[in-house]
Parts: sequence; C-alpha cells; structure tokens
Amino acid sequence: MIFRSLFLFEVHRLLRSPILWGAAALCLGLRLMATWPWLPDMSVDPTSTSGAMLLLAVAMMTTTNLATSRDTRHGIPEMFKALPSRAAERTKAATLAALVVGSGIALPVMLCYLLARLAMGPVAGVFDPFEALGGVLAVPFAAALGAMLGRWTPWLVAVPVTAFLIGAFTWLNSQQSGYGSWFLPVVLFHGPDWPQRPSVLHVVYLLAAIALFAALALLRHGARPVRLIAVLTAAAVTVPAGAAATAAAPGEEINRRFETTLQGNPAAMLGDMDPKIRQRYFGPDAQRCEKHDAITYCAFHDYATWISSWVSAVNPVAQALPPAERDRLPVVRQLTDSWFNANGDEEQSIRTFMMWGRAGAEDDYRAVLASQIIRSVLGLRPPRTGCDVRGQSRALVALWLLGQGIAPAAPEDREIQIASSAFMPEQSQLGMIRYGAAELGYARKLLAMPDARQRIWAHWDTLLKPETTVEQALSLLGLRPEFTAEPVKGQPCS
Amino acid sequence: MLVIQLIRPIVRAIDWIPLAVTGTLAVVMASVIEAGSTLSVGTAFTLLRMMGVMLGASAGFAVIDEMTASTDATPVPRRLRQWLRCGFGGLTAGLLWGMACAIAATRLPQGGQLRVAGMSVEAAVCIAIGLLTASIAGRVHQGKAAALAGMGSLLVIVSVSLVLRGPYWPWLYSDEENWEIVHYGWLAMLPPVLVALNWASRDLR
Repeated sequence: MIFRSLFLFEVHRLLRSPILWGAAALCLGLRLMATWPWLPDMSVDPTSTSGAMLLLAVAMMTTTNLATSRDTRHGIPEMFKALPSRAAERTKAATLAALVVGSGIALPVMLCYLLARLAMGPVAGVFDPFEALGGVLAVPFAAALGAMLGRWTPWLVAVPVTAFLIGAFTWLNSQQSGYGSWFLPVVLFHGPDWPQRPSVLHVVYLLAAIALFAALALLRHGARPVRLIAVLTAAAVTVPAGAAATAAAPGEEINRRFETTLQGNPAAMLGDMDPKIRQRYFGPDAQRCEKHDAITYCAFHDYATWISSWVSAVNPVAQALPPAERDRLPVVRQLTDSWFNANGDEEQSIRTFMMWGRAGAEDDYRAVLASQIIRSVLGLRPPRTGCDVRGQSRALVALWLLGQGIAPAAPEDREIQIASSAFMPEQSQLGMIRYGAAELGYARKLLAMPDARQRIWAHWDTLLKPETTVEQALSLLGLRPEFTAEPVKGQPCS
Repeated sequence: MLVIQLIRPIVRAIDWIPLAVTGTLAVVMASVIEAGSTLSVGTAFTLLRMMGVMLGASAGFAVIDEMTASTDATPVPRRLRQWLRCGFGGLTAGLLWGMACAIAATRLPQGGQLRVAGMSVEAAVCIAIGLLTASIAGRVHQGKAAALAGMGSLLVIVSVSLVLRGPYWPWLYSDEENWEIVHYGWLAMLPPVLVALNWASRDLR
C-alpha cells in the first residue's frame, strides 16, 4: 500500500517534470530537423535516432538521480526516520516509476519520429524493430543508472560525469574504436550496407543492464539474499549479452576499406569484403533493374522505391534528347554507401547513391543524375580539377538539357553528400564544369522559347562540336546576342 | 582589501569535488585515449570540445552557495562573493581544460596541430555559460541540485547548435575557411554572458 502510493507519487512527479518533456520535444524536433532534407531510409533511421535519444536519456538520468537522492538532501533523512516506509522502499518506488515513465516517454518519441519519417516520401531500407526498441530502452537504462548513482555516490556531479563518459565513448565507438563497444546504451553509427547489427542481443543486454542497475541501487540498503541473487542473475545476463553483441557486431574490419592498399584496387577491396556483404551488394542478384522509357534503372532491393525519384530526374533530360541519342544512354545504377571503391570502371553507368534529398534538397541530387547524362551525351569529360566550357555552344545545350528538370543556376563550388562519409565536389550543377553568365542567360532564353527543341535537334551535331562557339550557335538557334562573353578561366573543356 | 579577506573563506566554502572529479577525468582521458599510439587530431579536437562542456557543467557547482539565503545580512555584497566563486570556479575549470589540451597537444602525430586559441575561446564560453545558468538556477532554487542547470543548458545549446549546420556553424573543424570569423563570434559571446553573470550575481532581494 505504502509502496503503491510512493510509486504513484513519483510517477506524477516525473510526469510533471519540464526537464523530461523539454528533452523529449528537443530530441524529436532536432532529429526531424536533421533528417528533414533526406528521404527516409529505415536501415539507418532508428539507429541514428537512438543517438538523439541520449539527450532524453541524460534528462531521465538527472531526474531519476534527483528523485532517488531526494531523501539525502536538506537534512531530510532525520525527518523521514519517523515515517512508516524505509529508504529501500523509496528507492524501489522512485526507480520503478522512472523506468515506467522513461519508457513511456521514449516510446512515443521514437514512434512519432518513425511515423513522421514514413510520411516523408518513399521509404527505403529494412526496418528492424529491435533497433528502434534498443533506442527506446536507452532511456530506462539511463534512469536505472541515475538511480544507482543517486544511491551509491554522494555527489551530484556523478550525473554530468556519467553523461560525459557515455557521450564521449559513444562518439569514439562510432569509429569502431572499441571503447565501450556494445556495452554502451546506444551504438551510434551504422552504414546502410554494413553487416547485420546484433540488435536482438543488444535489447537483451539493455533489459538485463536495467535490472542490474536497479538491483544495485537497492543493494545500497543492505545485502539481502534476494537482492544479491537479483544482482548476480542480472550481471550473469548483462555481461555475456554485451560481450556476445560486441563479438557479433561488425568491428574494426569495417575501417579496412580506408587502407591505402585497397584504395584504387577494386578487386582487392572486393576480396577483402565480408562474404555476406559481397553476396548482398555485388552478387548476381544484388540489384533489381526496371526499364522506364528506354532507360534501365538498377537499385538494391531495399531501395527500389526510390527508382521513381531517379526516373523523375532523368526522364525530362532523356526526353529532350534526339531519339537516336536516347537509345544509347547508359544504365542508371545505385552504388553502395561504403563499398563504392569496389566498383570498377569497366561499366559506364550513371551513378546514384544510397541517399536522396527531399524538401528542396532533391534538386541537388536531380542535378547530379541529370549532369551525368548530359556529360555522357555531350562527351564532356572534365579532369579532376574541372574545366571551363565558356564560349562553347555545348554549354547552351547542356544547360538547356539540365533546365528540363531543374532551374539552372550560376556555378558555385559545393560538395554534395553522396554517402554517410563521402562528398562529391562540384563547380556547378553540371559537375566539375564552369560556365559564365552569358551561357546561363542564353540557356534561360532557350528554355523560354517554344521551338527550342526543334532548333537544337536540327543542329545537334554542329552544336555538340567543341569548336562551335556560342556566337555561331546563336544564329542557328535564333537567339540575338545580348550577353557579353567572358574569357575562359583555367583549362577549357575539350 | 575586502576581497583579500574573502578569498580564504570562499575557497573553503566552494564545493571542489565536482571540479576535482571532472578535471581528473579530463586529464586522464587526454592521456589514455588511444594510449600506445599518437592521438589523432580529429579525436583530440572533439574530446577537448566535450571536455569544455563537461568542465563548464562542473564549474557551475562552484557558484552554488547553500547559505545564500541566510547570508543576506552580511556587510559583503552578494555580487562580490559570487564573482569570487565564479572566478575560482571558472579559472580552475579553464586551467584543467588547458592541462588536458596541453597533454593532448603533446600526443599529436608529427605535423598535427590544434588551433588552441579558437578552441580555448570555445571552452571559455562553455564554462561561462555553465557558471551563468547555475547562477540563475541558484537564485530560484536552494541547494546543490541547481548546479545541474549548467549541464542542462549546455546540452541544449550544444545539441541545437550541432544540428544547425551552415557556413557559420559554431563547431567548425580546424581546416574550414570560416574558422576565424566564427571564433570572433564565439569571443563576442563572452561579454554578454559575463554581463548576465554580473546581473545573476546581484543580491537576492
């Protein structure tokens, strides 16, 4: 009876805590903000949301620590001596309440986030419910830890110190350093194309660790047999589960792909790879190919939902090409997130990635796809440092083609994120190609001209010759000179 | 004169345990992470930034005066006592961060360099924010638990600013071009935080 009312009191107190609700809102809001410009990928979304859960976990650890240690502050122990309940019961009630409230707040945060992501466009990847559950359990894990710290350490600074240690080790561990490994409440980073994570084992570990910390908190009130057995049983599950998860999870071998001996040597990279990964991403059935308007699109099985996004980027450009060119277009093929160095150059394909933008950011990716088609058709092969297409008639055709899908913009040095840890540099929407205001201006005029397509198709071969100048093209295209030509900067495109 | 007389009692009144614990941890972490090999610049960078936040959170414990309500009638203004606490807490935290930074700097690989000036401004702002929010919380809440407000505010500020990536992101890496201007921004944060600290240190009534 006393326990029940203590428990209900603690639950009510926690539910009124602005720290918890504030942290939950922050956690959800920041996560949605961080992933807003990307299409949902369920292989990585629950994992990275678990990382944001650490914020809620710290809030939970702090409030639970304050709740369990409340009776040690302000001379309260003396007052409480006259009450019917003992400290052990208060610990039990506060810890249990924190576990219930913590899970009760973390679960809707995770659910809201995942549901919001589901509504954010075509979903790719495989959803692992245990991964999401692990993220939720990180919060009661922190609650139990907070209760244990509240009972065993007399200093409140234990909370910031533990938060720092968990944060620092989680960050270090995200580079497979082995600090903390799967004994940490969350394992922050996982590439969408890495070997399977031991998510079930991790959930078992988290549950056992919660029991262990809670039992340890109670152990402070005397080593009773039941408490000792509880601690030993929980430890007997926690330690092996954490160790087994660490052993089963991909570790430092994932980082071997950065080794210099494997760089630039696709065959060696492929040979070094985990056989399951090789089968899954480089095997004969690795990709599903679909044909849309004479162009083949090949996606990994879990990413086939994104094909429509690629079609919408490629098709407007392809339809603007003369029919003869359209039939010669290469395959649009998806690359892996971590193993793209294992792809040889033998096949000329249009490359797309395990990321795609949304909410305004998709234009960057549409340009990446469209520009590859344009470069392939126009025979533009810019060197690594880029080249300048100013003064060449090809620039007008290229920008007009680009304009079929997106509004062409002035050149700008940028980096487009194409994988979890890879960025593609570009000097303009056409890739490593620079152009001037004149080319852009004429291309915009062309885009506004109703008969531009007929005129471009009629003079296609002449316009595509590198020797044809913009001035010569103007008369062919029926444009009048109105923009001043700028001198070529750096290496001209050949 | 009054200040000199206050130094001893205030040094004794400050709860040094949080700074001692976190300082030891910072120094130990800077020495043992990746022990046996050199400390990569990226790791040193992020660890030192995390330590700045942790030390800022623990510096907040120095400004909590549990007797603040009952020392209202003393001839020494609260502002002076609080400034002394902030000075001791903040300087100690800064010194401990500097020690961790010095250890990390000696462990870098050949040619690796930390941009110490900019990073120490970041750490100083974190410590000042820790002191400020703990001081504000200390005004409305009696007891040591108020010091945890330092950690709370720092975590909110850091997590929000980490997500808001842009050209003027506060947590730039050392090779990014806006480093200088962003760190002038960090420096510009310091005076308003100190003014607010002065305001939060005024008498309770």
